[in-house]
Amino acid sequence: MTMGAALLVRRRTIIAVSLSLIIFSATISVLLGIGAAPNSLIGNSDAYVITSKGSESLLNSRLEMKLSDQLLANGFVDNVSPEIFAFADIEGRAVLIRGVEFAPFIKLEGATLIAGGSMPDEPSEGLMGSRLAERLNAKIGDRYPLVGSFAPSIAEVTITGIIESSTSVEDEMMVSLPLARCLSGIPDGYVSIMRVTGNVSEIDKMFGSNAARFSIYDLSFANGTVSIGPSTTIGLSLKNWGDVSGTAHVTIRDTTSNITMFDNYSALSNGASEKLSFKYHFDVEGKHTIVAFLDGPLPQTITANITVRDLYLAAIVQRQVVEHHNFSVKVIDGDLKSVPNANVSIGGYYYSTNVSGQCEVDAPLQPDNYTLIANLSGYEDGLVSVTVVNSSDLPQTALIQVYNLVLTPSTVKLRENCTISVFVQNFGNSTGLSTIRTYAQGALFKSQSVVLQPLESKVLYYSVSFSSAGDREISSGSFTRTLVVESTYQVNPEVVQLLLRYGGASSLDQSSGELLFQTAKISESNIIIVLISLAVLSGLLVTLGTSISFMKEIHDNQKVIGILRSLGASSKQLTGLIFKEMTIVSLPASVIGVAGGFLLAMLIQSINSLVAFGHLITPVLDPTFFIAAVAGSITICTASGLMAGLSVSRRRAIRMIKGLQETSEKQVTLKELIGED
Amino acid sequence: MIAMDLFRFNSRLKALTIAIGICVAFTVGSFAFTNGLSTTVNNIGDKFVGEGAMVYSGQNLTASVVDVGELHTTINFASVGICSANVNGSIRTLFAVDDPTGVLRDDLSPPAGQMYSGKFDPVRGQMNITTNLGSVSLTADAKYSSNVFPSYWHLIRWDDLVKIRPEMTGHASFLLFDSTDEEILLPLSSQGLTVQEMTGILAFFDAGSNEVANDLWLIVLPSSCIVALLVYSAISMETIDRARDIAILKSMGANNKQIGGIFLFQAVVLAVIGAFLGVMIGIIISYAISTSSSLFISNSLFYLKVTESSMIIAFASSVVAGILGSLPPIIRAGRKSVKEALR
Repeated sequence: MTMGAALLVRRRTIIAVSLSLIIFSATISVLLGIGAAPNSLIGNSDAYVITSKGSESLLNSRLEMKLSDQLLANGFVDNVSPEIFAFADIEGRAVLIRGVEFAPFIKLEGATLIAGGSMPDEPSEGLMGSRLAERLNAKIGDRYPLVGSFAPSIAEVTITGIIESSTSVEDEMMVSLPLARCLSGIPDGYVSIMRVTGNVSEIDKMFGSNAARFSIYDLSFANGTVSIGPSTTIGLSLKNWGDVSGTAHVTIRDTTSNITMFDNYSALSNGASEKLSFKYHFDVEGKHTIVAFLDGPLPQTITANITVRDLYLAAIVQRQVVEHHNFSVKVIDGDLKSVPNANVSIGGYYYSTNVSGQCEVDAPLQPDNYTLIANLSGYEDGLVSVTVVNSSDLPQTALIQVYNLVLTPSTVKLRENCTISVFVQNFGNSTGLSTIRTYAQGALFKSQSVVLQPLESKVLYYSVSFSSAGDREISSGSFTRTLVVESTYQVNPEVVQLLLRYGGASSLDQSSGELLFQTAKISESNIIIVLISLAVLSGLLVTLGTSISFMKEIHDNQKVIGILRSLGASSKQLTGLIFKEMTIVSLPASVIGVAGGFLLAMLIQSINSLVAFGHLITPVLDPTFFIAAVAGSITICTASGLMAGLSVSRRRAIRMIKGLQETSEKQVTLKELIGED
Repeated sequence: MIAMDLFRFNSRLKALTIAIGICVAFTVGSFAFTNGLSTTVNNIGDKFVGEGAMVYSGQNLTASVVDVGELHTTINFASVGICSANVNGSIRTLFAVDDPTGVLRDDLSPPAGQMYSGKFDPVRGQMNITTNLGSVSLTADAKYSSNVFPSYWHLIRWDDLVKIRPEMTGHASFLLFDSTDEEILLPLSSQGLTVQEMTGILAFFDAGSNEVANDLWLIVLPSSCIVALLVYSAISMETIDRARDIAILKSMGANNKQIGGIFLFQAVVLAVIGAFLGVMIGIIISYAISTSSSLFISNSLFYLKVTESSMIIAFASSVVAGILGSLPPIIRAGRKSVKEALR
């Protein structure tokens, strides 16, 4: 057997084959490492990762911080690490910045602080992973300027400690949540994800499949401001995100008046949603805080405010009138509706409004300042200042000015209409034309020309609504009013539509730590296709390398093969002999090649130079891969040996003994070449 | 000429050419992967609009001092001065903003005698602020509203900042520009200042793509090694097959250089044809993977991109590896005597 092994395939072939296999196994190990890189970004793989439902990536996920306390209130949850992600380029290197609460983060990662460092005390302080510190040559006390990831903002972090861990956080910079919020634009009270550790089976029961899971969202009111008396509609959405039907217990309370407004059990099938609504009238004026509460294993609350005020009157009248001249008064309520039979008084003279809410004042008032009062039982009085002047005191030209600007109501919900009332009067003694401009947030909203007689007034009404929340400055003339536009709900529905994803191998959706590639909107499947393609090409390439090494051996020993064939060896016997010898060479070559590949991969790993998007790519070096790589290598060698054996078994003995090519094609001879006969 | 005439493109060399082609295709495919990644992240990056730049001197903002008077720029900027100071017994970061052109679009100048606290640390009341260079007493009864600065920084007036950090007179810690125009910002770099573009994710993507591109040299290297191994084996076999021809040429006076040239020519031709073939295969495979992935994956946004530079690198590495792989058998053949070669 030993003689046979040396007969056709020399021992040195092991070197060539091993070399090919070293390259093959190291390349596959690195490619597997690239494929596993996104998973490594999630850090400790034993942790559950919570993101908000519907978020495309970890980056646009938003979770309320109070969820952390709710989770910790459950005995089976040991640790919760709320986290935010930001991105930076430091000295030309991509650096992932992770906003954390340091104590739970360190505990979750099992990280240790390198001697000389300390845990951050201030929001401007942070920690750095040891591999990143090595790449940046960073020391404790170093400061790094940082800019916002998605919008302009600036911050500076001071490194107080360097941490070591067995996970990918060694490639990251850890900062406080306030600093990370500054960089990422995530609002106060929110984080991107929460990583949770604890009793896995209990967490599974809470968040796993085969359970009903509810969320509440979209707590809404018909109007942001309502009056005492008339009822208003309050709405709340409820959805079952779980896999089975269930019943949810929802209560809605007016915490200002300490009244339960709504208490209901709703049965919902899996995937179904329901809009809960009811009518309610408020008895107490003021700002009321309304809280919707969902009972269950993961309680949720949504808070919203509504302003309640008494019914009130407003009088529309000229700001300035001429003595001994009649003027008109119109009385309206808070909904801008005309109020008939309202009492109007000025300077001791009394009037009553007609069905149109109007009355004509013909009082002989002397030049002075007066207060016009409109009142009616059940309404707050409406007060307006009116100045009576002598006509000779008026300017002889037209003087058209805005003398009041009223927003009704001044607080609206999204897409709720607000009426802008622009009060205009001609304060001059001559008819004139003027263009009245009204602005919203500094931009021209409406422009309208008015022609007014001396001291004539007019009210211009405009309707406006907004589809995004926030304060809006409305201005006209010298008046500016703030319109408050509130969300119809206080919490983004995506936030409360929680979906728990499991970081490890489980039946639940895997988060798989897809931060890196989801950031670039690259699906994991795309990466896998590319990596598999490269691996197949690599395997093909090594098969060719091994085959040609074996063929070279066969070629070098073709005389021996020719002699064996002339002695009566059949093609089958020759193929078998070649295959056997090559298998004997393949076994040690495979083991040496894969072991060498491992060493090469470890060398690549040790020099920490294989980095992608700030994270070290760790070649896969586990025993399963070792066994698979050896098996793959032996397969490659076997296939190569068969190819070589089959190629030589068809050749004729005499040609092999003479060392001639098998081909019959005519080739140029040396004699022909040098032109000699 | 003799080298050309002696060249025989037999079945073994055809197989070798295909093998080299696959090696080169592997390299081209690997680069296409990186280029695709780079292009994809750039496309994503384009969705984020660069919204200005921060300019500072030295390594960090705390130590940075920029002489505003010496600044040669025509575009608007806001000056920001920062100072770490003892505020009622605690160390806090204070900042002041000089923004005459409204770059930051926020009013960041408290009334005289007052300071605005950050919303994360809403201090209230009389604040005695001291550094080893000066002190000032200010009243804090309101918060500033700006998302540009960390919520734990506190806003003071510039003249108050100068009282506790006198070197800020005519200077700033850093400047904020509302432009990302390289033509405008580049001269600032030449003035010894660090220009950091906002937003950070753009720079992160750029740096990340570069890192992946650098990693690919570890893929070019092994494929080149296999090309060298293939050419070595092929040329070794050729020199053995052509031993008698070599002997005759030597006996006719051909020197080692001439004989080496014949086989080197052969190696170069094989490597060039193989590399050309490989580039073609690489392009086809890359586009095939891109197309097929979009068929199988609904949200496929990633594609492989073959660039001129990647083709040149793959081509050149293959030819160089081919030449290097052919040298050992050529040298060995040259050392053989005529008698030895004819045996």
